Formats: sequence, C-alpha cells, structure tokens
Amino acid sequence: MAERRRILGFIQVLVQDRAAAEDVLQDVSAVLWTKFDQFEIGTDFAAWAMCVARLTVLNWRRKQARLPLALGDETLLLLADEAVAALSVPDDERREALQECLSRLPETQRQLLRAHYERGEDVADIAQEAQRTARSIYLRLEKIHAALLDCMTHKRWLNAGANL
Amino acid sequence: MSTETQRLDELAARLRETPLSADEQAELDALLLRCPEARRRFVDHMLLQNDLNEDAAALLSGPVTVSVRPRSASWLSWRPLTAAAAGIVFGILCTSVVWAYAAHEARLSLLHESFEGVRFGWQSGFPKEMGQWGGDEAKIVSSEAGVNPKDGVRMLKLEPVKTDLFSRTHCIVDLQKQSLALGATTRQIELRASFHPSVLGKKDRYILRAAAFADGPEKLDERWMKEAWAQIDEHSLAYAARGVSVPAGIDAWQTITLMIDVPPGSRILVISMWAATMDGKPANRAAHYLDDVRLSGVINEPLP
Repeated sequence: MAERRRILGFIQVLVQDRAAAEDVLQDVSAVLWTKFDQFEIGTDFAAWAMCVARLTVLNWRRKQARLPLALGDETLLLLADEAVAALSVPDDERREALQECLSRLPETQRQLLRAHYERGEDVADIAQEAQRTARSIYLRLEKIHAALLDCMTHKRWLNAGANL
Repeated sequence: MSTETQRLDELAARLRETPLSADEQAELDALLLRCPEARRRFVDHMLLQNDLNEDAAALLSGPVTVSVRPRSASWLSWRPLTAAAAGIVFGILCTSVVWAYAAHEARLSLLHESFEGVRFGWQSGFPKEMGQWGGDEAKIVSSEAGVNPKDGVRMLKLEPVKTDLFSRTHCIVDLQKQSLALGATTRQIELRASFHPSVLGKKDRYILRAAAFADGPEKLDERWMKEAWAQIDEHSLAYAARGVSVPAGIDAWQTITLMIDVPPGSRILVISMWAATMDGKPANRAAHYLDDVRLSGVINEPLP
C-alpha cells in the first residue's frame, strides 16, 4: 500500500491528473511485473519503480493527443527529480506529518475536505449545499491546501534541522 | 511566501478544478523551469492531492489534538473535586478502574504499566491473549547506563532488532472488561508512553499505534500492527498513529501521546510502541527503554 501510494504520487506529479495517473500506474505495474527479475533484492523497490514510471510517463505523453497539462520535457524531468527527493522521506513520516497538520485545521475546514475528497463532492455541489458561491468554496479550498503545505514544509524544516 | 510561490499556489488550485488555459500552461511551465522553489511547491501540491484523493477518510480521522478549555463559570471549578470523589467510590467498586483528574479533563485509567510487578508477563513474539504483552526481544531492567526509570524502579528495555529498523512491543487490551468501552457511543481513549535511548549519539524515532477490533485476539493478524499497517483500515474499526523524531544527544524521557476514537462494538484495543535508532547500519542501532505506559478513557463531561 505504501509503495503503491509513493509510486502513484510520483506519477501524479508527472501527469497532473488522477485518472491518467491510475492508467499510467497500470502500465507501470505491468512493466514491473515483466522486469521483476532485473530488480536487485535489498535495494529500494520504490526507487526502481520510479525509474520505470519516469520512462512509462514519457511514453504515455507521446501517445496522448492532448495532455492534462502541456509541460515541456525539460520541466518534466526537473519535476521528476524533485518528486524523487520528496518521496525519499519514509511514507509513514509523511503521512503522520500530514495527519498532524490536518488535525490542526478548524473543524469547518476538515468538513470541507471530507466533502470534497472523502465523499467526492465537487465545488459546485458543496457551494449549493452550503448556500455559498462556488468561488468562495474554491478560495477556501485553495487556502486550506496552502495552509497544509506550509505546515508540512515547516515540519520538514524542523526534521531537517534535527538531522544537522 | 514569495510572489512566485503565491502565483504557483493559484495556478495549482485552478489546475485541481479546471484545465488551465494555454497561456496559463505556458506561464506555469516557465515558472517551474526557472524557479526551484516553485518546483518543490508544485510537487508538494501534487503529492498532497494524491494523498487526499487516495486516503482522505483515514487521514482526516488521524491524531487529534485535544485542547483544554479554561472553565469560565466559578461553580464549574468544583466539578473536578466532585468527579474525583465519585471516582474514588467508583474505584472501590471496580478495582481495575480508577478515576484521576488532570487539569480540566477527567481520565479513567484503563491500564498503567511500569513493568514493576510479578503481574507483568512477557510473551516473546506478538501477544496471543487478552492482557498479554509481547513483541521483539525485550527485558525488564532497573537503572542502567545512567538512565533511571520514568516511573517506579523498573523499565522495559527494547533490544535492537537486526533485521528491522524498529523494535516493537504490543499489548492486547480487553475493552469489554472496561466499562468505558461498553457504551453506545464512540469513546475517546488516550495512549501515553515514555521512551529513552540507551545511547545518545543518534537521532531516535518513536511511534505509537493503536487499533480497535470487533473480534478477539484469535482473529488478529500480527502483521496488521507491523509491516501491513497500511492495510489496517480494512481490518480494524478504528486506528491511530503518531510518531516523533528526537535529535541526537537529548538525555531525557520523551513522553508521546496518541488519541483514538473507539466506536461501539470494539472488543479489543491493540497498542504498539515502536522505537528506532535512525541509522541504516544494524550494528549502530541501540536499545531503547520504555516505561510508564498509560491508557486512559477521556471524559469531557465528568459529572453534573
């Protein structure tokens, strides 16, 4: 589960679309299965899988008539390096940091995240239910995401400081 | 926050909801190409999006910070005393349950283990029965290597494991014996444990995990509390985890607290305590001491 999440996260960075990321993950899984004899037992499986995923994404992009986000190849490779670095943090550690940051949010913001991500309601549905404008819900979500990222960046900074 | 990061946040937010226009895509591409900070932030956006899409339910039911609100009305300050008095009576009626009062919250003690008495039975490997403790290699010691027990005169020494970064110890708690868990509503339980490294030269990491199950120990798969923790949501009624990293050289007990909401129908609560020396080489990993493990029911409204 943790490895799947890491690899899917890596692909999400490169394809920027959830459905497309799931499709690419299927392709990556097939490649990993057929090339498993090339994997050196005892080395980092996720790192190996991310190398495979990087090539699979490049192939996938060539086959698409229209990409979710048309980034240049150079940008994409820089993002891939950045994603590998970000995902080198143990999955447990990342998740615990995120859980703690989520627990610090006010309950109303947690409810909004539940509606959007757990129940899959889109911004327009939430706005209608809450009798607000879609724009105001959209801005609230943007603010929550930014707050979560700031919180996690701060925790990462503290951890990095602890390693000095 | 820099202007570029701010703009990146705006574009990432738009991308989450709608496709970007050609101009916006070109702007984002240029921003990502020239600015490392923007790339880091963009990766963080995508990973956050992925985590929330994949597992929002579990993430949002994770550790919750408990805030203690000061009482505003003066008569309410008598409540702790009333509750404590009632607790003493309750404690006499039921010897395994004792009321305690800390600040403005009541705590119903479900378990307190400081590894002192003959009661303490250790099982090598994962515990099999209610009330049993077990796990990786461990032994009870008194003061050792300049470390004094946190509580009482003994503590549990968790030996390093050659094949794993973490040393783990677990206990199966019978919730049906505890009156707290027998209600029709979800109850909040707090797990608290203290750790101390035997060697101070390395960064250490401590993790608490707890999971409530509807079935007894016989149906429990020990892997759920270890390497298959990522699947715990498929098997448990509730679960929670909390980890703390401690920098090298800190010569003090580290007390970690975890809150879990235990729903009705929970029969057992499995608690796990993990300790690790953060060093990739097994030979450099040291033992850790564990002491003063407490499991308490949290009562927010003690007595009228």
